[in-house]
Amino acid sequence: MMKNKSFVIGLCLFLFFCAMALLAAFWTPYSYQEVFEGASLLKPSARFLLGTDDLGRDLLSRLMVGAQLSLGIGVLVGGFAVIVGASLGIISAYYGKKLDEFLVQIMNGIQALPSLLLALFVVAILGGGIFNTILSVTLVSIPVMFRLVRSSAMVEMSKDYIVAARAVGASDYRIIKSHLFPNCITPILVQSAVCCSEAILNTAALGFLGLGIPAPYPEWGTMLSDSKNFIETAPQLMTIPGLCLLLLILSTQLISDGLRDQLDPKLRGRS
Amino acid sequence: MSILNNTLKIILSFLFISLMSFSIIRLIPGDPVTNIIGERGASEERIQEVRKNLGLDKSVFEQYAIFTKNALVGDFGESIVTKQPVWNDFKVLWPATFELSILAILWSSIAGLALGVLAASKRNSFWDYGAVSLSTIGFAMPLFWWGLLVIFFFAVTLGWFPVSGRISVEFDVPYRTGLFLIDSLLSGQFAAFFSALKHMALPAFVLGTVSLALIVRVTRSSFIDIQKEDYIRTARAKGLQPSQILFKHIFKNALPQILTALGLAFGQLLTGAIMTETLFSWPGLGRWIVKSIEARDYPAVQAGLFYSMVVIVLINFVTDEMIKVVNPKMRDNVKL
Repeated sequence: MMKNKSFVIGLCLFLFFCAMALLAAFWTPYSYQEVFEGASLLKPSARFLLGTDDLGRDLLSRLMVGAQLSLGIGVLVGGFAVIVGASLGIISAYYGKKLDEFLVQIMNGIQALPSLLLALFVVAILGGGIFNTILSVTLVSIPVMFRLVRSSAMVEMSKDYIVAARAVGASDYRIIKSHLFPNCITPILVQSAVCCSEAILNTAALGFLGLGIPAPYPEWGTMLSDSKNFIETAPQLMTIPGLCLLLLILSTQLISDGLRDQLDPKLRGRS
Repeated sequence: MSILNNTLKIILSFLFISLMSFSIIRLIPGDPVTNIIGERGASEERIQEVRKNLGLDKSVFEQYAIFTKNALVGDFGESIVTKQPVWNDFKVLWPATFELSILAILWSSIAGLALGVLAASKRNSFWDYGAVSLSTIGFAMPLFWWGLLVIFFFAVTLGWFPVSGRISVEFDVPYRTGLFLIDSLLSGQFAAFFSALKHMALPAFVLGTVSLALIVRVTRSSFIDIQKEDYIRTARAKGLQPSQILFKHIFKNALPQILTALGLAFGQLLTGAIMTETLFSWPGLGRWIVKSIEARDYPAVQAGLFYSMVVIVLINFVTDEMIKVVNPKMRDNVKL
């Protein structure tokens, strides 16, 4: 595992952001909401390591709390996608017939729109806020997980060991839990990392459009959107949160690539 | 059989699309009438009038039938913000998005193909590593940050390109197609053409980057796969020119995969357009959708949802058909 370069780089980056988020839970240089009078748009200095934003808030503190938000949402959505998408996929493949058709149609419906557009419309219907943002981002991440898990579960279903398990008289629950699920773990793991990165990106995109997580939360996408008007005077407000966002998304993608290469030898070396 | 099947599919998707956009206005918390005329200052008459205009005095099924009928001809009623039929707004805005998307897909597919082929034919070279890292970073790149970086570098620091708008104010291009690049040429204003091109350069560059990553990756990996095939070895053994092998054998066989990627890229353009247009204040559909959502302009949101779904269904349909043309194995009448 540790010989896989992209996985190691991804993991290191990811752990870095985890450490940042964890640290922010106990300590930040200042409060992310604290406004310093007359200290707006400062360049990085010893007092404010990364400078301040237009309202005079410390950028580093906001960045650290933002890491909590992005990581938290990413992991949460990845988890939800596994719980809902993967279980539906396995159930759909296992029971087949009407239930399968029904679920596939629903997922097709959800996938009819590109994910960000759908998330936008969901937020338009429900309104903004942290909860609705997570809900919409989760909703759009489920179909892909569902499809992948369903198709690999269907391959497993046609294998002899499932027939054998049936012949021994194993219950549906037992077959799903101890046979189907463990054999579908590769796509589930790989896709959960992808869901995580998509969720982070979509949350930031919604924030950038002003429809995601509302102020005063220092969400990276919202911070980027705010930085638009100060590109000339304080470019670090734009470059640093964006770089963090890129690296965090990159790390989850590298992890998923690495996992896939490692767990599925058939796909190795196909980038 | 295949035509029947496809028509059925399109009808089904249309019904689904219309159902989705029909329900959206009914899913909003609160009464649509109050949403439109506001809480205060609504006389009973006014409420009844709006209710009738929205067709809310009829049963849900009747409402849906009417909605679908109107949607078929693109009629979604009046926008709450502009007080114009939504169709009118759409008519003015779509050429802007279309022009931008075409330019974006053009440059990204040309550059993507070239880079992908170069990387595949010179494996483990500088070009190969470049292509791989470009596509890896391109996939992870948040489009809006990339746009900000591009603005910062090319517009603010270097000052080469304007940051917003479609054309400089001093030009007055007569409306024909709505595509500024074509209209300006038709009226013989070359200065206007270059102004439009200059305004479009940055947004199209940013918008095309996402597709670029996808096309480079797919081209490279499919070329590498096909190079390992036996028939390529045969062709080499026969002593064919490398260029002949590249274009006649590899390219032809990689085309279905590349077309699939292009179809995907077109779908992504829609999402990308929302970001890019918001960033560059480009007066197109993406910005319109975001603005309508912000303004709670529900007829416009409905229309936006409907139009985007129609576009996506169309793109998928065209891609499928094109793949059938270039890949005989995918045709329905072929039994494998």
